[in-house]
Amino acid sequence: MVLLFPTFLFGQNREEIKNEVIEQRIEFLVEQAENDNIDFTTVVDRLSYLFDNPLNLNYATREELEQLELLSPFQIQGIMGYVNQYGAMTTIYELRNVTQMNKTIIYQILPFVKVDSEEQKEDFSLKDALKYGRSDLFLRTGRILEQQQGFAPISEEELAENPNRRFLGSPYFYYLRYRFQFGNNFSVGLTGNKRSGEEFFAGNNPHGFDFYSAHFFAKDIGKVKQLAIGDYHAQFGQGLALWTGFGFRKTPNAMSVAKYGQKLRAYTSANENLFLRGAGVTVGSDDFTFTGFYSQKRVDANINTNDSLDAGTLEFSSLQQSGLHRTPNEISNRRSITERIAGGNVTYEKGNFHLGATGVYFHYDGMFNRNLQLYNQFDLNTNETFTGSIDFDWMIGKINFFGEGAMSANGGTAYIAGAQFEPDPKVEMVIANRNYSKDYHSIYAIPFGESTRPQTEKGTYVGTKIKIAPRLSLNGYVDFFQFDWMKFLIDAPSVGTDYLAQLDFSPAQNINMYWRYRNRNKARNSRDADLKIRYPVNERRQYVRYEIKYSPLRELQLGNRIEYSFYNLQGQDQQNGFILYQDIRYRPNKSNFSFWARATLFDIDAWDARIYAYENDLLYFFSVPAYNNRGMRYYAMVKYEPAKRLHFWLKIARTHYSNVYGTGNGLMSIDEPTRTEIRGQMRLKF
Amino acid sequence: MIFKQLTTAFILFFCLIQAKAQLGYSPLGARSSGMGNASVTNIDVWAAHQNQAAAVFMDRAEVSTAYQSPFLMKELATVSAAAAVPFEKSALTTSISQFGYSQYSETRAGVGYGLKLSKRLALGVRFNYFNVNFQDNFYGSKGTVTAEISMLAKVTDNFIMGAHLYNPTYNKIAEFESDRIPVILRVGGTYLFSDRFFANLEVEKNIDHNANIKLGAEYNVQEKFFIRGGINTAPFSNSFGFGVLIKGLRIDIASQYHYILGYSPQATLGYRF
Repeated sequence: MVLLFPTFLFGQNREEIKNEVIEQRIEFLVEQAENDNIDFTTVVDRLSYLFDNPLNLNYATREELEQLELLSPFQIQGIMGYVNQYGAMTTIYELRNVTQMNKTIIYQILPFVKVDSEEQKEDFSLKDALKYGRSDLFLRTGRILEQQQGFAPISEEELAENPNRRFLGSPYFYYLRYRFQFGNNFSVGLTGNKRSGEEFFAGNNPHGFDFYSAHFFAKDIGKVKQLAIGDYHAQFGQGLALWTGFGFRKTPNAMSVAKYGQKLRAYTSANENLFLRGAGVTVGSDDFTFTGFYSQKRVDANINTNDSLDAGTLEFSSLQQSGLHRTPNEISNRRSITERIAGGNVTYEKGNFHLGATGVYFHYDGMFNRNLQLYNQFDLNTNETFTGSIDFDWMIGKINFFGEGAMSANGGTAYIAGAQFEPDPKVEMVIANRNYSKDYHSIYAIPFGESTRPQTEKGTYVGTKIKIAPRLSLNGYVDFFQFDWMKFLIDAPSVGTDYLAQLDFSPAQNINMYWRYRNRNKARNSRDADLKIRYPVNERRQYVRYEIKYSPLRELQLGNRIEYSFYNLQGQDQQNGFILYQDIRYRPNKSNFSFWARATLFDIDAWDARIYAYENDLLYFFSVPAYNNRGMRYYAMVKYEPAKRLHFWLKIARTHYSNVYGTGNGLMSIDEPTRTEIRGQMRLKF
Repeated sequence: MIFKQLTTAFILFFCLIQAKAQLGYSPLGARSSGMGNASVTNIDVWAAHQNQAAAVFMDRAEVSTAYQSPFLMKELATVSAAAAVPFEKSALTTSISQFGYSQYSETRAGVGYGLKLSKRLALGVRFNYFNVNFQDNFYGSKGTVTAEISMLAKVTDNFIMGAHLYNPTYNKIAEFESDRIPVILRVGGTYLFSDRFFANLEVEKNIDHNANIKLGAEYNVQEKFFIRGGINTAPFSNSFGFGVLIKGLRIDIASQYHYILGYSPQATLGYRF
């Protein structure tokens, strides 16, 4: 391992920095998705890979540096320019000589980069791959200790009458992941996942896991730049036409707006819907590449039982995203529709110029028949569609332009265009404008903005990052947006705003703190029960946070967070939330053990005022609990490395409520004031 | 007359709230009180009560006694005593406090141990026996053992952080309505502007109450004379106090002022060996 900045890293090892970087991203993703059941593995896969195999800055390509999703185009240019001009860096300290770099960003990328004068062999050779490749095996299990309603005993008669009253499987979840990798060039893997309540080697899952995924992925085999067989991701341009998996939208890092589509990627996550299954290939030279792909998989859908249709034609009203198959009802929707996706992309890249064109065709083998309401009447409601787009990225001098424009078969359009620039060495800015029409259709898209789909939204986003002083920086954005048509729970066209400001302060090498304020204004239908017509009123959410991390000893990191939330819906009383926690991370010198613990006290008036807080967890497992009600939560985690290639994790987390005697809804409900999660994981590298 | 009765009723009502809060824990000692009880990072003999880890950084052994009279009502008084003995790498502390009067009283007695992990970091733990007594045992008396854990870190030469978690196990005091002793987390920091002036900021969250943000400061006006002030947000109150240190003798006087309920004075007499 390369020697890293010892002063920067006082008390904070690489792993902690990696966790911080991930934390800042995931917390917002969960909040946007409002679903803690999501597998974010792919989102952090790249970072985790680079953590194990740091990127050699002396030979990194622009594309590789972009994939860090931490560096601005100017910083990337700065690093590449520096290496070009002065030759290979001999120590990582030299990063400080790159004008565009600053302490904060160096600190953030440190866990993922190295400098090495020797270039690693980039050409693919199967012999090398098999010889030097490494296997990585994860096994994970866990459960909630309290009995959830869906697992409680039930009489035979009652179950016969209501077969959906109980989960079919056990409360344990099991997860298996095997991956064989050679550098960044070759990867083959298998993932299996059984969630709590799903069957395992029984009933509907005679082959074990409820979900299996396998991939084969290779890079740089002569003219073949990327080859994906099995499950894979396809991500192009700014994510308007096709972007499977998750992508970052607004995050506390105000500068991250532009996306860098990586074309094809290996799929390693356990999410049951957001990926492609089939094959894809990218061929070409350094300047020109052509990508073609095909995907066919069964997806979960709500099937309408309608006798009037011709026999053999299925009709479905919605696509299911949860991937849960725990009850006969959930299983009846499972893999009920075949989704076919075919498409291609042409990209021209030269120096700082990038131009791409993407076309994607989507097809379902059933009739899409949504329960159309006024608000969703422009949504995709046919069994096929086509989307085409053009995207670009161009750095001219001190300005980097990026954008994508797309159109779907029905004439719906979407575009996003933006520019990043540095008016002063201390100031970075980004401005981006978007306009997604109310009838634009794309099934897998990750647009930048407020909505989860690039539909019915206009907006302008301005973000900035200002280095006020060496130890003080300000980061913030202002986003104005407009919905030209109704949205779910907003029964009229509406406007909204989203502001964020964060002040980062590092008074000493072993202390980091920040203050963050966020204010979101949106419309939402009034909750006033007396109203005959539920018209939209203003909904305002505010969050105020202070966080400090400090290291009194090299092996010990402590931290606290205080966060207030305020929720106002016009005509209703304000709802408040509060959390306070103490964090401990201890890693004794020369020990095989690491410890994490946290005690949180929380006090939340209502679900609308909930507060999310990221927790350290088993590697590749993500937990960002949403705090609600009043009580406390503890967690403790231990990581044990008996050998360099064998790691164990064990985590126990317990929430104890003081003002409610039960939690959860329906089959997930617990009839006790506590909720205790326990999970463990083993990783074997060989 | 009616006014007087109403006032009495009103005060009793607030006293009950106060009594409920008392069931948990509140910092003791006039030095802490004068600083708005923002005392989780204070290094003095009352660390026995507020943060057992802090006692590790004391120079010499000390004993102290205190009398507190919330809203000048003797029925709400707390009498307490504390002792702390620092060793090279650790500290032993003990304190006892009794709240209430013949009809209702709470007694808390405990011993604490602080361990110095480095010259900048200490951890502490304490075990209490907690007892509630109704009407001279007429209605009975209930007791339980509670724990406390604490930490103090001298992060830099002029910045100290501390934390104290009271009753992490959320113990029950009675089966009836599963009445529990509250969990209380206090997290605070000290910034030393100079040898003679420092300020404390602390957040306290009792599991059953709104978060209280506390700000306090102490100024060493003269070698032997200290003045203090503080603010609390929930309930809103001001604090002020002063202290003298003559030879080994410490005398501290302080009062908190609540805008409805009035003054809550506290006096401390201590000796440093």
